[in-house]
Amino acid sequence: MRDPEGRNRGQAASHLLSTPETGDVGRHALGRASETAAVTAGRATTGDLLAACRRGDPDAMRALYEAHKDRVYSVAIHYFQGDAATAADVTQQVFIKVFARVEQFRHEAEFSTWLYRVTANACIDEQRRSRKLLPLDAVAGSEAALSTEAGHDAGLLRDELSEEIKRAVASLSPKLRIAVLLRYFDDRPYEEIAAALGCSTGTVASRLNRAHRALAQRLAHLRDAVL
Amino acid sequence: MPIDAHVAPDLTAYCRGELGAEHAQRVAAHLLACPRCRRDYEEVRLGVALASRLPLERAPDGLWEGIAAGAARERAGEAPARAARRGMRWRVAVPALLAACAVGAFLLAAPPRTWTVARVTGAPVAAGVRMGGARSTARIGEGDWLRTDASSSARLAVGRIGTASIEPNTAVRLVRSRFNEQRLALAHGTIHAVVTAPPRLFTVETPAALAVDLGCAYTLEVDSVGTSVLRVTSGWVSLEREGRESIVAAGMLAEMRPGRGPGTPVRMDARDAVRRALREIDFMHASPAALDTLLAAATEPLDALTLWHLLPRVEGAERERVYARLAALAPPPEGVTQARALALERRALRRWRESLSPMWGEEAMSPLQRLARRVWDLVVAD
Repeated sequence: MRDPEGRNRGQAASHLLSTPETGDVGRHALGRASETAAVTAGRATTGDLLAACRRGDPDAMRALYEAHKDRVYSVAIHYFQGDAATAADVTQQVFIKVFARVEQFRHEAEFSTWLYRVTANACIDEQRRSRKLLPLDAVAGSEAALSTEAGHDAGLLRDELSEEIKRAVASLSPKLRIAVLLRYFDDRPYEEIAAALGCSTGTVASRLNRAHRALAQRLAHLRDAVL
Repeated sequence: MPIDAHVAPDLTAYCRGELGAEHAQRVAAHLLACPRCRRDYEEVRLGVALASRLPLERAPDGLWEGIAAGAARERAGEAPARAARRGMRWRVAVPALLAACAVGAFLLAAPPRTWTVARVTGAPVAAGVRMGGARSTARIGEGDWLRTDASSSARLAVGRIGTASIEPNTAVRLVRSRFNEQRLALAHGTIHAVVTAPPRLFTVETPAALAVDLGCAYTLEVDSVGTSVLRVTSGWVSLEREGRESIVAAGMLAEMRPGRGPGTPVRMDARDAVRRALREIDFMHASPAALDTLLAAATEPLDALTLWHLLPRVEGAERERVYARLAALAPPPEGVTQARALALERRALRRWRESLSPMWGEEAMSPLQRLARRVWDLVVAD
C-alpha cells in the first residue's frame, strides 16, 4: 500500500492487521474467518466505533479491542521476552486505560497514536516496576539468552527461525526493543513512534538502525534463510 | 541532502521502501559510491528482513472480561464528578492544583549545582580546600571530593532533598546534581543519609553496587577494598549492580562485594552465624550447613524478605527448602503456586513480594516521605 506521499509501505507483512489508512478494522490480513465483534458489527470504520464507544456501546468497545488486541499483546509479549502472564497483564492495563478515556477521541489517528503511546508507556512502566520490586537475577521465563550455537542451515524450520528472531529481539536494550516492536507490529510512522516514546523522529530512526544492525550481527548466520 | 553525506539515518526507511522516489535515488547513488554506507546498508537490510518476520502473537482468550470490568470501574469512579460537575470540579481541582504547585515548585526549583558542606569536627577537605577556623562551610560541585580524616567529620546538604553525615576517614565525590538525578560516589568510609524525595532521585555509587534511594534514611559503609554494608533505618533502598538487585527495607542490612554486587538483605539484629551463612551463599561456595543455619533462624516477618531474595540465588532442592520455609512464614497469595515460584516466574514473585510489603513498606517511611511520594505519584506519574 502507499501513503499519501506515494511512498511504498512495502513491508506490510502478511501477518499485520489492516492499516489505519483504510480505516477498515473489520478485515484481518491474517485470513482468519473472524467472528469478532468487529466483523459482526459489519465492517464499521474506527471512527464509527469510536462514536459508538462515546455513546457507551459495549459492542463497539469490544470491537475496538478485538481489532487491536493482538498487536498490543504482541508488543507486550516480545517486550517482556516471552512472559505471557506479564504481557496479558499489560494488555489489560492498556485497554482499561484506553476505554476509560475513549470519549476524548474523535479521530482514528488520535486514537491509534494514543493507544500505542499507552502501550509503550505501560511496557516501560511495568518493566521499571518489576525491576524495582524484583531481584534482577530472577529471570526465569526470560528469553534473553541468545543462542550462539545456532546452526547455519539455511533450511531452518519456520518455527525455529521465529524463535531465534524472538530471542534476538528480546536481547535488545529496552529502548531499541520498543522502537522495533512499535514499528513492526503497528507500522506506526516515525512521527507517531516519536510521540509515543517522547523523543524526536531522528532518535527513532537512529534506534531502528541500531536495532536492525544489532539483529543482523547476532543472526548473521540466518542471512540465507531470510534474504 | 548533499550527495556526499553519509546516509546511515535513512537506511531503515530506504530498506523498507519508505523514502520518496527522489530521496531514494540519492541514497542509492550514494551507496554505489560509499563502501562504508554499503556495509551498513547490508546489515540494516538483513535486520529489516529479520524483524519483519517477528510473529504476531494472538492475545489469550478471556482478557476482555477483566478489561470491561476495569473500564467500568474507572468510568464509574468519574460519574459522581460528572453528576455534580460544578462543585466536584472545584473540590478536585483545588487540591490537585495545590499538589501540582508543590511538585512544580520541586521540579522547577532546580537543585543547586554545588552542595553545601558544613564542618562538624576537625578539618575536612572540600574541593581540595581544607576547612577549619573561620571556614566552617564550603561548597562542592560536580566532580569535587569531600574527604575527612580520623579526626574530622562533616555534614553535606544533598541538593535540596536531604542531608548526608560524613563520618571520619571517608571520601565522597559529587557525581551529578540535576533535577532528575542527584548522585554521590562513596569511595570509602561511612555516610548516614536522610532523604525526602521521590524515589530514585538520589543514588550513591560504591565499588560494589549502586544504592538507589526509594524514600529512606540509611547508613552506607565502604572499606578500603570496596566491601560495603548498607543499613536502612527508614523506608527502603534498592542496591543494583550488573543484573543483580537487592531491596533493603527498614531494619535490614545488606553486604556488597566488588565484582559480586549486592548480597541478600537480612535483619540488622541477625546473629553473626546467620550473617556468615549469608556471606557464604552470596559471595563464596556455600556449605550445606549455611542454608540450614538461615532457615532455622527465619522466624520474624522481615526474614520473609530474606528468603524471598534467596529464591533465585539457590537451586534445585535448596530452592524447594527456601520456598517451603518462606511459604510457612508468609503464605503466598492466591495464584502464586509452588511451581510458579520455583520456576522464578517474574509476575508470581512480584505478587508475593507485594504481599509482604505491609511488613516493611510505606509504614517504615516518615509522614513527610509518604507525602512526597503521594504528590509525586499524583502529579508526575501517568
